[in-house]
Amino acid sequence: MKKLLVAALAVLPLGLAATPANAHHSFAAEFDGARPIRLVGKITKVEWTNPHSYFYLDVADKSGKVANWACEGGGPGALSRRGWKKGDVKIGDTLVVDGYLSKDGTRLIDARRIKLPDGRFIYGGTPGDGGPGDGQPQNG
Amino acid sequence: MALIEPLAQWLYDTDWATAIRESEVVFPAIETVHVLALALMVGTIALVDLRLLGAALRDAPALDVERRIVPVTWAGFALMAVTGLLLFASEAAKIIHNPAFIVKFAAMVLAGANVALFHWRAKPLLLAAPVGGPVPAPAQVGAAVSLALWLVVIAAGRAIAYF
Amino acid sequence: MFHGLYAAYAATSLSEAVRVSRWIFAVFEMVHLTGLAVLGGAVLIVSARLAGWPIGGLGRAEVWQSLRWVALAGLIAVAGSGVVLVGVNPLKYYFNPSFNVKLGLLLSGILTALVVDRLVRRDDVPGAWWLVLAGLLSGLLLAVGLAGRAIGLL
Repeated sequence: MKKLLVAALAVLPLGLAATPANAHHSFAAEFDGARPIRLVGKITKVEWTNPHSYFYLDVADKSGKVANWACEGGGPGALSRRGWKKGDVKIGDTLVVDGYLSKDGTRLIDARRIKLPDGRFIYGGTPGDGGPGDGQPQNG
Repeated sequence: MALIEPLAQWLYDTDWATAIRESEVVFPAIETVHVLALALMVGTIALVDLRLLGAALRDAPALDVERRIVPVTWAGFALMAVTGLLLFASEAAKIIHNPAFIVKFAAMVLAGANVALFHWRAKPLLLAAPVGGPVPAPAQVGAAVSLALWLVVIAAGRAIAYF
Repeated sequence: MFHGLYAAYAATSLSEAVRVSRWIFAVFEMVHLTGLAVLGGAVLIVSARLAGWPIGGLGRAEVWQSLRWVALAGLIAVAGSGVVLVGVNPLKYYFNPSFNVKLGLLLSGILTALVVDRLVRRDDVPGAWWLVLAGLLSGLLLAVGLAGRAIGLL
């Protein structure tokens, strides 16, 4: 009996070795991967919050009319691990945000790539959401 | 709504709720406990409900199953309630307008009422019933309602992220 | 070795449907959570009984016989819904270390359950072995849950 048990437990690590080399939700449920957009604007509000961060920008369209847009990013933990700390941006700073438009047509984008005032590029997506760039090496 | 909004805003603005909301590790950690403790609370009460409905642990007296497992369920509930309150506070001002949260909260209130009703109506019948005999109908109804309501709570809880 | 499998999945219409839909992923997440609760509850109570916690005068074998089908139902729910969820971007999961660890832990948990199934009717198993098996069963499942959370957080 003991032999069987030892043999069986020895098999256990095989389960772990057999591996090939998210509170999340899907990007596709809210954002349209076929409608990318680039927003350039001054920050009017920063919400450095869980489960998502939000950056509000005043963006001028081609005719010069200014509208306020929301850019959704990962939570403070995810952003911090990519080198972006809470105090790195402030009201009035200009951000360049590449992202995807919201499916419901509101002025909200899912921020995938953000250029900070100091010139750094930060990946903005929520880990594991299945959106473009998710799972690939970040920041670039 | 008029009373709830200023209360929610006050909660949202407290130092500790703000700290949780802006945290790097604390919010994810609280959320993790909240999600995994589902097994401890809903998973265990589901077993009691299944016994009352005659679908599992049939060889054990229903009363024994209920008596042994329910304290574990309460421990799970304590974890869910504490983590839930912390999560709620961190998003209070916004979440009270979230339709999924409203449904979740309503379902939890109903689940609580079902528990109270069970103890008031069904439990005495269960205590008086012969051991090994059929489970009294009110207890079966309570069990079925319990399963249905917790299913709604789980689904609505997950849906919060989508509204 | 598995890359081809994940890549083939990504090319299916199911995968596209999950990727594009506004509701499919959400609904199967709900199924995944419900399965987690059911599987977790069953494993918890079974582990407790294996470790010696009395329940309704039932022996280890009786509790195992009765609850293993509940655990199996939960496992089918998490695994089935899991397959659908992976469809949203299969190759992303293939490369995700948290996901791979999660699968390895789940496999280990299932193997442990099979060992328990072989031994539970015997009366010559030392109590200490039951403690180890109970710990493994519940510990591995907890680790699966944590690895799952890591997918969406790390």
